[in-house]
Amino acid sequence: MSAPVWQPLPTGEFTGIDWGAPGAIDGQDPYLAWAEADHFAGYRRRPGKKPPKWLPIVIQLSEPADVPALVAASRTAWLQIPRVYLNVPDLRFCSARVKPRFFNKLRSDAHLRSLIQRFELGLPVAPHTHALTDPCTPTSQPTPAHGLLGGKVLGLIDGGLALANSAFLNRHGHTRIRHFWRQDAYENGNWPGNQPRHREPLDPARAGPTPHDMGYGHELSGAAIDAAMSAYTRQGQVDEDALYQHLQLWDLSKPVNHGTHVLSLACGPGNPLHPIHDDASRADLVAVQLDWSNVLDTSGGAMNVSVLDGLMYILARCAPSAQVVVNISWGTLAGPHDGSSILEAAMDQLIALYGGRLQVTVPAGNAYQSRTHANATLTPNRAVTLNWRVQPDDRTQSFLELWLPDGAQDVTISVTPPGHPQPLPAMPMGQAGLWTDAHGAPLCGLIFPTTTALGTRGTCALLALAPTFSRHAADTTAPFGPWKVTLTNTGASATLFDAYIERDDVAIGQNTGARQSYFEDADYDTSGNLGSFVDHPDNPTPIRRSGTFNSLSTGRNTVSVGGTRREASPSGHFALYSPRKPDPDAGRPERPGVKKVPDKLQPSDDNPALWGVLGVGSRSGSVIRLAGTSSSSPQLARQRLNEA
Amino acid sequence: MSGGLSGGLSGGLSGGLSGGLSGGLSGGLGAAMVSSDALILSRAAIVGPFTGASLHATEPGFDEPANLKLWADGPRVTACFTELVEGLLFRTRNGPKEALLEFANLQANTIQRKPLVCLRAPTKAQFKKQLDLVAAYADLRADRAAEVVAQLTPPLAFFSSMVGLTAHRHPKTLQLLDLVFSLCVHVEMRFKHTFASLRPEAFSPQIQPMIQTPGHGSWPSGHATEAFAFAVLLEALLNAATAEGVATPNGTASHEQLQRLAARIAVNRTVAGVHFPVDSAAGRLLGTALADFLVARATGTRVHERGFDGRLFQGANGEALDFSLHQKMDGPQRQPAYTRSATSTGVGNAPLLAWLWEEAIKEWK
Repeated sequence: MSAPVWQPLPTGEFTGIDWGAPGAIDGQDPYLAWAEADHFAGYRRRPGKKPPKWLPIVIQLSEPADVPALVAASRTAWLQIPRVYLNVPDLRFCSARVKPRFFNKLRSDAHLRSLIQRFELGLPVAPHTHALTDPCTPTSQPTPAHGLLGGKVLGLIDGGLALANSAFLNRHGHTRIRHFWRQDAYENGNWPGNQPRHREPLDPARAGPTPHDMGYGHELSGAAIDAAMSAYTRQGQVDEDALYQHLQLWDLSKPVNHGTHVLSLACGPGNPLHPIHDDASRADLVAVQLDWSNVLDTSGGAMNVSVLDGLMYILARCAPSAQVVVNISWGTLAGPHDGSSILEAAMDQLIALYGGRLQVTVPAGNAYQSRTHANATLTPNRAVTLNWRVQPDDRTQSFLELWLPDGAQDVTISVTPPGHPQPLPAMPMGQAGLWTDAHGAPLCGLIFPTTTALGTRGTCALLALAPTFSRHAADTTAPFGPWKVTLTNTGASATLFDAYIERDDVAIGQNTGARQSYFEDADYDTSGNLGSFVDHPDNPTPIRRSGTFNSLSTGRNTVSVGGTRREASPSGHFALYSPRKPDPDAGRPERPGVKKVPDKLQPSDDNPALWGVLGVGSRSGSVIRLAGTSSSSPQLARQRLNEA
Repeated sequence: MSGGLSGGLSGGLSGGLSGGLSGGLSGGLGAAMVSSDALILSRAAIVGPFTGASLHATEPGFDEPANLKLWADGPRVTACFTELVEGLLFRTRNGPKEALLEFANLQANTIQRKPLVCLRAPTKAQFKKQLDLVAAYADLRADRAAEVVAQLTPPLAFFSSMVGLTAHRHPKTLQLLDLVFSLCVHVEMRFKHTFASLRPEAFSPQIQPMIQTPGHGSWPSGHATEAFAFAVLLEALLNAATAEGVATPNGTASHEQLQRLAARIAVNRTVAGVHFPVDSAAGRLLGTALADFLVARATGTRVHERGFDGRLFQGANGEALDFSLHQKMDGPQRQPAYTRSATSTGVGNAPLLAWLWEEAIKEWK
């Protein structure tokens, strides 16, 4: 029986980067290296199909460079930036779409290279691999949108927004959603059961035109929504089914939609028993509907472009006088958790540049009991083994991020696939490898650079796995069961690590075949007894609830919101799935800057038996219950808007 | 055999499958128990003096297969079953620990045994490795509980739902399925007895199956054998019932879904914690071979000997291999455990089966 071995990463067919060359992975986005290793299989590219034409990325510029400087140093033939990024002087972040030429230029053009500090891959699935319409050119000037909003404005970035629901109408029966941007492009897009070969582009006459400053998606003004509502009003009642069909908002035919529930908590009028008459219930709204590709791709790492673009859209529809609160009830599990991901850093800078006129609320996360985080100190010669249990019948890829602080260069990582008596060779920092099947297709990749684009402190090793099941015989599937991942400190000084499993579950109403992997060991308490839902400092397990946190909400200037029970029980007032405040295990050593305690708390469960809180369903007058800290953050957004 | 069948399987399965499903009229009449007292009273009141044999009765022909149409479902299935299994025998080879299902045409002048299926079980060490997969599959129990419990009894409803099989329209098809099911049960029980493979719960107290572990051996999986036999038989029948000249006959057009369903049923038993993946892999081969055998008996065609060597069902490095439909059972890309001989074997004539087969085809036209 031969031991498994690492193969070198290939040269990327899109970027032309020789990922196997010394230093090639350092400072880069490891997800890009993995995507090139498996030919973008994780982004629904079928074997033998062409690579994407453009890649969506999000960029952090080097100080003192700004967006106009990057535009001046590039050409729209290979780098396209939405015009909205010209609106905020001194902003050091932008999204972009790039062609292979961009990567050639990065190698050959020192000036271009000097402008870009780092970049991350977005979600390279159609339509986000198409060219933008009307991107920035060197002569572009900021062009204000029509109908700028003043006063208090609530922004929302989410999926499934029922814009004609009576909860979002003013007293004249007109929509309060003054601007609505949807990021998708197809009438029958990328949702389960509909293979992309049946796609029809959205009709701009119905879904609205593409906003010129964003370059993709479709926009409806408040006036356009009102006109459509009036065209579909019969005997004084809006025929919501017919309206949404006309607007090509197919998802709103479902009775439950996450974004609608969240928006109602942020700014709805309450219910007849408990009406709410506050500023939020009268505020103008700007809503961004994420592409269903994001909702389906709950691996989430690729939300950076969509969320940052959404935030820029909302800000571009507000006058300088506006007080803006934006809620983003979305999240992922893997990331630096110290606020240094590009998206979090970008949101932090935007909030700072807006000087108190912009607040952003984000949920603290729902994975407290899901065993997706581990943390341990590595004294010299100590090895810690994590059992990463990957489920059978998982039709999506699984990812594990291993984060190390500065000075951890003597840590090695070894990986033993399930059923294999011997590990793959232990890997030191600065190296990467693929474990492949007999045809050379990667089953697993370990990318262990000295620095990473995913964060600014220390480094991150990415362990990526192929799905464990596929209907297509030609697809590569990885073995399921417990993958052993051992971190060993071969150096002379102590260090520590955090391991985060990326989110891989199924969003409401979807059937993606995703299955959440998790850590397991004998010491972790899964008993469900009193006291078993928090970490105890003396428990030797490296699996820690504390530190399981939404990786979009660890920024300095955004507000993270944890979930509580409206009616406390003797066992405590926290929703079991939410991070807690104060941290029950606060003394545990952690990497510098890691955030694991919510800034604020709001109820997300009614009581221990009745999880979730009530909000509105898709149709006017319907009421539904959803659980999760997604319900906490919009309530804080409401409070902040009322106080603004 | 006959007694056991009528009592056990024709009773149980004709009762369960055809009896229960084709229950409509015949079931209704049979079940409506008219009181004997009432019949005695009625006759005594109206009979009058006996006038001898006054009716013109046509006596059915001697040994006519079509006489099967005269019989009730249970006796018809029993008659066909004895014909189906005539000439089947089991042999074992102690050295390689192999077991063979052979066929001899007992109606021929010179009797020759020909192998149909050759099986060899995995080693205990392999089963132990496979236990990791069983443990991993337990993650899916909550998702699959409804299916696992529904499939404690023969999963006919799942196949009916896929191909549009109904009791009122397809009684003879149901009886064919009844026959192949009985064939599977008899053959798999001999193999299970021979190999006497331990169930997953024997290797670890942490498997904790979500249903009771059955009272027979683990390898090969009976559920997999039966489900793949259903899938293969239905595919052959739907193909035979499709008008000639059609590019893709209906059986072929249903192949992928039938196979996926059979695999799902097989895997659900691993999810439940009562089978190893390698049990499903062997059951797939056995069920396919047995359905092929029935079709060949009914249509006078030939079969290819098939084999499954459990010791070859493992990864390149000796790691436990999961069961997958993507593993091919023949051809150059086949998973090495599976074999299918290039040469074919005749399996004699079975006129009763042939009649039932033709009647079943008519139900799909």
